[in-house]
Amino acid sequence: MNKLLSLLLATGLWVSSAHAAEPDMGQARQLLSSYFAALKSHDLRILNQLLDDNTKVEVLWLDVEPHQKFTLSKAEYLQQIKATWHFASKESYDIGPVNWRSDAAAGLAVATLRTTENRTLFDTASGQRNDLEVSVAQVQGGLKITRIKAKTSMW
Amino acid sequence: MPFIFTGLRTSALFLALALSQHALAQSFCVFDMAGKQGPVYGSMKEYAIAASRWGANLELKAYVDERIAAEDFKAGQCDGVLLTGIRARQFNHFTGSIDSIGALPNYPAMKTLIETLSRPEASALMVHDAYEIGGLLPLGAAYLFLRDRKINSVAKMAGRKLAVLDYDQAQLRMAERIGAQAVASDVTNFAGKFNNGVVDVVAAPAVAYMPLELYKGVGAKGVVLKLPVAQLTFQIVLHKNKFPAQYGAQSRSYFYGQFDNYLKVIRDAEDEILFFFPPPDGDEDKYREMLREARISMTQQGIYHPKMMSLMKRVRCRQAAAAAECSENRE
Repeated sequence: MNKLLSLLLATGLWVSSAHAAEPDMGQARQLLSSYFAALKSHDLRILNQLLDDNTKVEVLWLDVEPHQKFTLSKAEYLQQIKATWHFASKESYDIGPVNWRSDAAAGLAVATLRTTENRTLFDTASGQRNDLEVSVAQVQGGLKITRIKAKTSMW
Repeated sequence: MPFIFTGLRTSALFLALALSQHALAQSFCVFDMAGKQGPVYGSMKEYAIAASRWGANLELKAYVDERIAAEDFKAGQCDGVLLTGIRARQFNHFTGSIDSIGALPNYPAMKTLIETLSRPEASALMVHDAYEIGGLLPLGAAYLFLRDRKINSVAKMAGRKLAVLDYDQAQLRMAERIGAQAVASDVTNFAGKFNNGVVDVVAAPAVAYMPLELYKGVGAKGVVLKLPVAQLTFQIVLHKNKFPAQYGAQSRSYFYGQFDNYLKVIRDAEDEILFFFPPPDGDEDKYREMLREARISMTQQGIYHPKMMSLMKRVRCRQAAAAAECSENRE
């Protein structure tokens, strides 16, 4: 009996760890909305709070053949955002419709959307188009963005 | 009568003191592209204060042209000089090889190296002929700045114009290896050539980005590759006989103690770079290996000092013992 109980307990534990807590979809939507608001208002502090410390930003750059993939750490990603704000003027962000799906096995809420950024850099009209996949998860410290995958064209 | 003799003795004493002060003064020439207003010159004012505790009386002189600073030092017009490591190589081949291609991967490695070289056991290596290295300072990693981010591989560098320092054989050889067109330059004109499109690519530390406006050359279409091609240094070179005994050792120790202050300046400068992207995923090892092969070849050609290459390999392998090179015997 004790062995059976131990086995049942172990199975229960395994099952619960295999399915990490799914984020509340309403809260995930709110988080993403806050993220883009912070981007538009140049609020690096909020962006820092919304990104998990281990966030990876995977960029697939589409303007070369073969397409080139590189990965930024959270620190590198925020550094680039800050540098862009420093040099850019006449910025605009167009945030496309957001589609959400749940990845229950991984405990993620995943948003896919397209964003278009326009700005003037060094007297040149510049910008980028990003097809994004943004993963949101419940981590220590609350609900955070844990991964961003971007397919990006730049001009 | 006694009063006159006392007066004469006092006058003689003052005269002796004045002469001794003058005899102890050393001219110290500082290369700073911004001259007397520059941050490097500013930090040397702090150094001069410290040096007074070791029996030196430094009179600073600013140079905006490093070549002239080196020439004046050679001619004896400067008793000490601050130069880049590459320029200092002519005075000490060993320390001048710190600024070698791909040799130090990061700043902790540079700090370990400078700490090692600041120890008394390394003193003999700091002296060559009449010269002594009185300090090693980090200048930051050299990164590749490109006007066109579509030059995204070594193969695409072929035929492109690359600014090279004309007094650094290593850069000339590197340009040949990758098939780029070397455009002879020096630290006073490479940025202008890049910003004006005379060259497509330059290698430079982050501290040059804002003062030399390298963001103009990168523009909206370029990129700065976040892969150190070398770790650069500033080096203090002394005419040894112009300074008190033990001055060199005290000076080296002083500059090692300043490492973190200089590193903060470098990190702050790197924080400002736009389009600062790492190499493609999976390519970093390939690039490091390419740099390594180039460095080994240049050592065999006598450009780099083999003892310094061996020392830096030990530093790298202390950090990453599992690296393939650590079980090889090529450096």
